[in-house]
Amino acid sequence: MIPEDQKPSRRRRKPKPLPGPLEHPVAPVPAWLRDASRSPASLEEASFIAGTALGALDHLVRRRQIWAGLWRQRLALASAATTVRRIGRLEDEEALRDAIHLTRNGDSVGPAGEMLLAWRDAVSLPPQDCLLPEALATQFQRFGRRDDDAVAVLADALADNANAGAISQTIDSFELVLRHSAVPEAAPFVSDLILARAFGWERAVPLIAPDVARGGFTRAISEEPAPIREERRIKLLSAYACAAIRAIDLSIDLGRKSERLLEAAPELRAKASGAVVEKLLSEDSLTASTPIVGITRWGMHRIFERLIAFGVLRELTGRSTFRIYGV
Amino acid sequence: MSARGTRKKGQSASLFDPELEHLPPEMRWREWMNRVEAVIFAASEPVPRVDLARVVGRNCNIDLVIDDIREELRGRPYDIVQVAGGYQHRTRPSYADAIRTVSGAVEKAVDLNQTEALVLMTIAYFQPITRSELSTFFGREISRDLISTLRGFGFIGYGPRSPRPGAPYTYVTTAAFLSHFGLASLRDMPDYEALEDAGLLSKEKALAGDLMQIKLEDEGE
Repeated sequence: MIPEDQKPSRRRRKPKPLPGPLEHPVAPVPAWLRDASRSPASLEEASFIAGTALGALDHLVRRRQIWAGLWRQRLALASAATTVRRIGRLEDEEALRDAIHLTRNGDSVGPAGEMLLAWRDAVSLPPQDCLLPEALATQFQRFGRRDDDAVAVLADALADNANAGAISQTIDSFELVLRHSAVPEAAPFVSDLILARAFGWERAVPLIAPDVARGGFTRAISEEPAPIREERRIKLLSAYACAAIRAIDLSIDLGRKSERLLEAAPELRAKASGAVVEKLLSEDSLTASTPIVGITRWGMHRIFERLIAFGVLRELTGRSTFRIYGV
Repeated sequence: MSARGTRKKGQSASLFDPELEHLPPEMRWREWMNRVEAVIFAASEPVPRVDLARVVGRNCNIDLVIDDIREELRGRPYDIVQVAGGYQHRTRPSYADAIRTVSGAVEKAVDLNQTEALVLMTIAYFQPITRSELSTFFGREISRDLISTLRGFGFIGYGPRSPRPGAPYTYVTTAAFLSHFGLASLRDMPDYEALEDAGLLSKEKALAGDLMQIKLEDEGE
């Protein structure tokens, strides 16, 4: 009991750089794959490229890097921003961050903030839980349309399809959402969850929303002739390839930044600085008033200021008040 | 109705039988309809579909159940309607006068004047929006009283605080707003799609004056 109690407190006092990202940097995406992912000509090529890219991504996800939380949250933010733009609102990533950070408990985050909450749920809950009919109904409401009948039908259709191969399940789920619901913006959301479940990931990784934001991904095409359906499959596979490559690129960037943050962390002498650093690596962004046990918001301010002075943390808004910090 | 309610409550969830497999299909369907109607009748707020799904069998289509109930209610002065993401018993609009005559002032009269309605509409379309942004939008001060009137009706609530000096609250519409105006979701508001397509759903553009036209048209009515 006592040694267990002491261990975290000692770590908190002196957070040492954790070995993960230092020893195994993420391998960059090979140039041939990047080139090939742009416009695959045939279904075979698209499948092969998507498989290769998703394989690399799978490898990365399974390593459970210490900054995986931050990485997922950034991807969620990007996907949410795309979704928000797609329904015609003009809130950008900064505005979404503001909506989350500046809303007090019990108040509403507004329609755009709700969409970010949906994506954040997707990366913070196990994918199989997110795919339960009730959970899907809630998330569809956040996307702006409560559509329970459609969700019930959709959940059944997804369950029927659950024994198909991982990739075809994912690609089919996209079509199923378009066919059964009035929320085409939710198609990439559901597809990403299905992919995570099929690959056995603990948490989903938001991937294709930015890639399918334009280019006619709003219409169900199951009734269309075969060439059109094949074209859609090629496009979706290529979207997954591009998205996986983008996610790997982001992970390399964030891995490097996290490494620098972890190297600087031992310089911090505040008691809870370990917890703050940990939180910085598991969240997209923090404000000084983010509740962390053992530190006041003034203490948080000092830690953030020091980390900024070390050049390992950024103030994300450019404002002198209502500041939001992130790696 | 209440007897059924207490019986349901008295039994533990594991004993409650949603499937009713011992009944012949017609009686099972009838029982499901009764259950759904009872649950909606007993609730003071719209009942979400997921709650209804708990009292009927797994392969029971709630839509068809609701349709059948509504069919039976055809000659009655009330109906089951879908509002704010759930189902609710509502009296038919044509009996509003009769009800008002009896209940009179007891009913919280939601009587918005033109400005209030316009402000509410603006908040609905441009939420989250602060009071000062509303004032800029209308070209005159939108008073705190007006905002608190709308809050009093429960139509608007606080949203995220705006990152400006004084951290003013923004305002957003509530579920009560959707329920009162019979909307299932914000995206069911009239012309929302058209506004979306026009890319007009942005506060910045509204404040820059792009939306003045809509405002003037509304005032002209």
